[in-house]
Amino acid sequence: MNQSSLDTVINTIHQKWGHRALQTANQLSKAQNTLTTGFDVLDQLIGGIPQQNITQITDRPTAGGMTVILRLMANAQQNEQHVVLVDRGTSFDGGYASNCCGVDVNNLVLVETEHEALSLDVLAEVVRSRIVELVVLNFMTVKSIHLDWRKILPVLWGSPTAVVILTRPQIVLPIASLRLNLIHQQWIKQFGDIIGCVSQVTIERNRYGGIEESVQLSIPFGKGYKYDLYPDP
Amino acid sequence: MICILIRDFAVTQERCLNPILSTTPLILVQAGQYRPKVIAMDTIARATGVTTGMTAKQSETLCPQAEILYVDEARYERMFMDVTCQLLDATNRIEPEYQATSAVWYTDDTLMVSYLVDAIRRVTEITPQIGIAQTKFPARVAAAVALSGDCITVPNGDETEFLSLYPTSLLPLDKLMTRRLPLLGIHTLGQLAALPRLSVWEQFGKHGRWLHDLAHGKDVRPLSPFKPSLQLREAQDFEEGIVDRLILHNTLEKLSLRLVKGLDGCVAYDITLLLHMKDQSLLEYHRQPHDPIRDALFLLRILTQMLAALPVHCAIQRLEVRLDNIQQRKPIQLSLFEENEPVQKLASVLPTWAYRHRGAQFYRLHLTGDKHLPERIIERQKVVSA
Repeated sequence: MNQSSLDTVINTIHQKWGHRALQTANQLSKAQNTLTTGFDVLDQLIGGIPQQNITQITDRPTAGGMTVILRLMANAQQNEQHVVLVDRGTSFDGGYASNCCGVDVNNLVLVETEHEALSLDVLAEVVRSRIVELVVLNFMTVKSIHLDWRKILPVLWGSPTAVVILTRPQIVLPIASLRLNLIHQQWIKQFGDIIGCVSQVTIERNRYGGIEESVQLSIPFGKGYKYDLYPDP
Repeated sequence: MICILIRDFAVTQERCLNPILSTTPLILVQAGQYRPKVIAMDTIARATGVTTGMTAKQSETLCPQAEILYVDEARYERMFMDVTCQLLDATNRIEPEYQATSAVWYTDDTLMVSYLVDAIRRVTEITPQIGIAQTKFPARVAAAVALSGDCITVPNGDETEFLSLYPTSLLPLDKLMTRRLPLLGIHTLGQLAALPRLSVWEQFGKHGRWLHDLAHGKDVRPLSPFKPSLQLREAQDFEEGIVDRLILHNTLEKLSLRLVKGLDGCVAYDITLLLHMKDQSLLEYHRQPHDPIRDALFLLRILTQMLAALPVHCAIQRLEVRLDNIQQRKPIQLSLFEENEPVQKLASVLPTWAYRHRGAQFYRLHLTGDKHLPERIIERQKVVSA
């Protein structure tokens, strides 16, 4: 079959059944869209947080995982993207997110759920809507997760959403395309006050690149939470 | 205004379903929480010092003989609405209010009160408390403080005096006021009412002004009569009880066909499957599928999934399927070629999400200018479900 007759057949199918009925493989392999994290070092390492995929960030408290995620949310909002935060632990600190990380809380939707299964249902709903570009799930208070993640995959494929899940290091999500582990290295101090921390970020799983690479990440805590809350008299 | 109240509605419903619990103290705690908190308790547990908000572990320490169960809010609410629908036979001047496991009905139909109380007693096997006043809030407080089966009437003009002794916790306080009122030494409604209205307005804003009015017994909220939404239900009884999945599937198929016929071109958004078991227990599954129910095949598929998910432990005596939230079918613009997805805005879909996932709390956040108190930096506005 020559090219012209193939084109004729394809055109006929398109006219009869619509443009999505038949597609060539090169049309499907679109360039991977990513969201920038706001940390140049990290972006160079992982190439950004991939959309249509699940990214898992694991850390222990004080390693700066939540700050990295809040910076990611702030960056997404600066690019006029919609962000939804699903908080399992009801521990979202709006003051810190707004004052220190630049999150536009007026354009943030916060969802508090009682259990993980409900969080997954909400996630599926949000992803299916194709309105939201970034969904963050905070599972830091959860000790173990036993969920059927397979129902997310069909809705995630083709959507513009990047899903980021923050968990404890012992939790492994096999569905995650990218898994980053943050380990606290040292505090950043200025005049005796802690103004940030240095953490080592290691890629533990990456569907689109190499693994076991790591980088030192300086995570500043903005201007300092206390000073913003209680200004000098 | 007449307020009919059943305190501990959830506890009594649990006891109706499981008569073994009728003599043991009962504590209901949140489901799915790592450290579940107490939502409701019976009078015996309350007498031992158990209060709402304490952890299940604490309540167990205070009342070790109590039976601790997880709450099923959806089931209590459904039972409450069932009772309300039965009351509508008597009068349509009823406003139901389901408040954290207690059941409240407001009415201004004085002639039918005795009939309503009898009907509630007949259906729930509980004698309600009654409060009568000129407006809603004093009537609600009167009903709340009355003993079971008693009626307290607040004379017109004596509302402020009647309310003055009762604690401010009876008011619908927000988080800020719950914290600040005790700090200011205000513990009773009388203390709040004694404050100048302008000062309360200045300190607590519009909400505080409204609460100040309530403390004076001034409640401008009118009675909004309840209009039940259209509901379809089909059931099949099995005298001997049945466990055969094939027969159950065939029954579900028949019920699906009958229900879809009853829809008559409309669509339903809620499904409830109820299994009445031979040991008198009730298994219930409620779902809101993403696509509305309009054909029998789709309904049958969902019902089969729901049946498979229920832990059927003995023979089924009655199989019941309900379709709720029935609406007219929305027209769809057909497209032969491109699938043009409708452009939606996040704000417009949030109420639908909140409705479909009622266990989750959806909030819009607002940054306030006040930076002096941590809880004032961000104001949370709960998304009202569609």
